[in-house]
Amino acid sequence: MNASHLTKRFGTFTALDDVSFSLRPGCTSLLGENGAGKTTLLNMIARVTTPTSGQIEGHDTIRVGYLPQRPALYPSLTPVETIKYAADLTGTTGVDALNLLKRVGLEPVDRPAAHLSGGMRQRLGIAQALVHDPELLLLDEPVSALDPRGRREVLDLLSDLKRERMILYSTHVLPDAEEASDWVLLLRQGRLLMEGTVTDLLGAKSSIQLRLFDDTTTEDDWNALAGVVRVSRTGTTWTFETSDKTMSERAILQRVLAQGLMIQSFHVGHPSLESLFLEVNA
Amino acid sequence: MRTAIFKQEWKESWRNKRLVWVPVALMLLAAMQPLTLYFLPDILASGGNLPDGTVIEIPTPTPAEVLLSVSEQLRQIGLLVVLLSAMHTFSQERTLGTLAWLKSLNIPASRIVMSKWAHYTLLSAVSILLAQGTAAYYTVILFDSFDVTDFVISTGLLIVHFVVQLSIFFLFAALLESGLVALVITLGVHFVLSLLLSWIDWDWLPWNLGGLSGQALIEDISVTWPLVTSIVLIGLALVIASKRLLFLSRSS
Repeated sequence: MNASHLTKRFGTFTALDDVSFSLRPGCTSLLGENGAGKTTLLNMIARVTTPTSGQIEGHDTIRVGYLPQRPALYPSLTPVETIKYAADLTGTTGVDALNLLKRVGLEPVDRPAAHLSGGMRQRLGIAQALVHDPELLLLDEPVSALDPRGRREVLDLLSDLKRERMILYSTHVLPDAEEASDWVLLLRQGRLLMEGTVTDLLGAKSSIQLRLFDDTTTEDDWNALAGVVRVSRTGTTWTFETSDKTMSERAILQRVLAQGLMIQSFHVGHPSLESLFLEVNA
Repeated sequence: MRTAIFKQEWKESWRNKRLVWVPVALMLLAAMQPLTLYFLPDILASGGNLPDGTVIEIPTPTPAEVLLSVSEQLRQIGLLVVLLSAMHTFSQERTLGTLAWLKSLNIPASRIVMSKWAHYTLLSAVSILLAQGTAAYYTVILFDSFDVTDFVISTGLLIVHFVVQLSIFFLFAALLESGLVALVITLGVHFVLSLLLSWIDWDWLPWNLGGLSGQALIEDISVTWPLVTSIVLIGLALVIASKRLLFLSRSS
């Protein structure tokens, strides 16, 4: 599936601006903050809206499964009825509703969708999108309503599903993108800033959190350390956005030793989306 | 596969009791007229606070006049009941996201529109038949028998009149985000044109069918042209609704 020069305008507002990419086999995550244009792009690929200009090749002839940000469920139908209705609509025969629900981790409760929890609705939405065995699965923030255990299960499910089909899923959580996807599209304010593997995207960047006992340091003490791009402080916790994980770790720890500071915790994690955007823009 | 949405509409109408309250409301409306007309002298005598010795003479209406008043009730309040029952048909699915989901499955808009339209058309036709049956029953019991052919023609025209109004509502409901706004516009167009037609002699307009359904009970009428224009209008409304169906809420 190829998208070329996609632009979508709503009046004077440009939701997507000249976005081009090719979708590869496996799982691609669409990464961006709220309002970046992720849902608009997914709606276009799902054939729900048309671009103002540009075109998408190859999405008209394939089976598309779509889970919108808020699962599109009929409130009066139970999970089993929801699956059967989707099968009836798509002309899919031999669907084992119970098995499909089990696959997404949902018990076949005899309650209408209106009375299911947010997490259960999310799982039911994924099952509904899978009924007709789609070649392309589009998921808009599929783990946003889930608790940590549910999130883990759905990310595992995506890793399993990507062997059989193309998946494009949107998220604003970087670790989720890293977890399940082979390829990342980075969107900001309607523009495609970057595409590549997660390793390409992250490179050596990281976010280091340092918590101190009796912190007497000021921002000046931490500025100009090797590999540190940005420093911020919340109470006694310092956050360092870095461009080079190893170099910055060493520099920060050397500064701690030199000033005789007591460390309460030291944590190296993913860079924030904001720092990624700054880096890419720079 | 092709009838999936149609079947789902019936299931939804059964679960939210629409299949019960729409026919019952129309049957009550239809029963009220013959009962009220029959008991009117008693009602006036018991509740009118009239001086002793007052004599009220109300001529007994003919069966055709009773059925005419039923037809008027159905055309006004009955139509409102049917349109209210269909008010959220597109707007709710737009809010739920299910219309967009149907689009993502490559389901043609015409199938969505036609399935819903066929459901509400059948529901209103059956409700009108039950209501007219109720009216006929009470009219025969309380008044007298009537010309069955005239009554059948009147009922048929009433059904077509409802289908025309439903189709116009479907057109606005497909184009506009709010079901309530679509309902108000449909009723507004109906009201304005009905008023105009009482001054202007445009017998061929579909909006004449309502009045003709009542006239059919008391005199010979010609319905060819209003029927033809009604069919054309229904077709046009459904084609435009299918072509211009709004799948997504503008706020999404």
